[in-house]
Amino acid sequence: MEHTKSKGLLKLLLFIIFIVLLNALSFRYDHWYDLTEKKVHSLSANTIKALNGIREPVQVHCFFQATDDRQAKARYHLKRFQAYSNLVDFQFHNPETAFDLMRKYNLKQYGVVFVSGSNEHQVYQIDESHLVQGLTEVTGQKIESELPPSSAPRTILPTEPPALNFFQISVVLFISVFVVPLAFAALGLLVWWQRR
Amino acid sequence: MNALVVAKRELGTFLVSPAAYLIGAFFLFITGLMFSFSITSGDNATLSSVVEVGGTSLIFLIPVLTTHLLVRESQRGTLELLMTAPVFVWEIVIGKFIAAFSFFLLMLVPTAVYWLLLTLVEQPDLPVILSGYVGILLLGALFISIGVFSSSVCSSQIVAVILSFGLSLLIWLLGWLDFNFAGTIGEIFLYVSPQQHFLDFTAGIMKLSNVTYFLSAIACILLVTAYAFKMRLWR
Repeated sequence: MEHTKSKGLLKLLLFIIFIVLLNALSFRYDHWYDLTEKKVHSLSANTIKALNGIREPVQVHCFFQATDDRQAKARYHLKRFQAYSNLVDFQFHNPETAFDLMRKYNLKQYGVVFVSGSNEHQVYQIDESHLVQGLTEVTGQKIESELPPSSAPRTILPTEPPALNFFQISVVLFISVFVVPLAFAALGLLVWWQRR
Repeated sequence: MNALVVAKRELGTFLVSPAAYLIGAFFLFITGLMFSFSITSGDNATLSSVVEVGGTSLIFLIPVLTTHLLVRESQRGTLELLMTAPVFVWEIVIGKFIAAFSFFLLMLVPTAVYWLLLTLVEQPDLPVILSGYVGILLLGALFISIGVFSSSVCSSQIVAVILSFGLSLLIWLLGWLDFNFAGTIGEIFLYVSPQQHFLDFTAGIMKLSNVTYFLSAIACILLVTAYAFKMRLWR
């Protein structure tokens, strides 16, 4: 009995180790597909060109507070960059404890610092274009910027009116919030009634 | 296969349980509410916010749905009968899992109404919607496997619910710990939590690592469940 128990435990442990290794491999050699219609998660041609042109390791230090939504954006973009170039390595630092690092890079506000060799570049606006600009600045690449010229007037787009009128919204609300759940619950009540 | 026999019997129990339908109705109420909000805000072509809220609500709903799966065998005194039955322990565990997952699929079917309503407003981004559904199915399967595990190690349904909910919430929140741990440890916490994997599906990103994570986590938990349940039967 004890022998069977320990044999079973050993099999379980070996399986868990196998699972951990499988996940490590799939994380390392990941592949992904952008299913969106407008390919919003795919990198632009310029970004891919910049990433393929990296010859030296690039360290990316990110300093954000836990509540800053730029942290998630930075992680999202930098992970996509890593999928194209394993020379890009990023780390997230808690700015409340990483004073020395922030002082080292002379960071005036929370953001991202790109470092390659003796080159440094700070980025505060977290989007693909600005992050790629940071990358090209430290790697010395000359790639056409996708950023809009700073002299261009900033236009505020008018808010699009909702596609539905009040009646249509009410119908949608009624069906999705009341009809569908109540129908499902009614099915359960019918079953209970029949079993009584 | 005996697992399918067990699954069929257990699914029959689900289908005649009013409580299971009430849980499903509550799930549909939450997702319906989110759909109504999203359709007025314009962020609806992918149903991503609906799927995200629906997925998060499963942390609370799945434990209640799965609590009775193996606990009831203990409470009814049919555990000893199971020991003599010509069925392997893993077949019982897989069968219970399949039954719970099948009922969960049934809960998701009425959400097709949201897609139909959406087509009246705009052209939905179908691949992203399907990706979201794949994500919620995998997430639901993960929480169901945790529910089956909790049910296998507890003798009381209430304790099983608390354990299942606690474990589901714990692994969900692990993803928030990465901020406090820099480097590899933070990455491990982020990877172990299903949060980011699920959110990738809702955003329309189909990643090999995400699929591997969910399938391997479910397999691992079910294997541990079979082992734990076997140990319990032998005691």
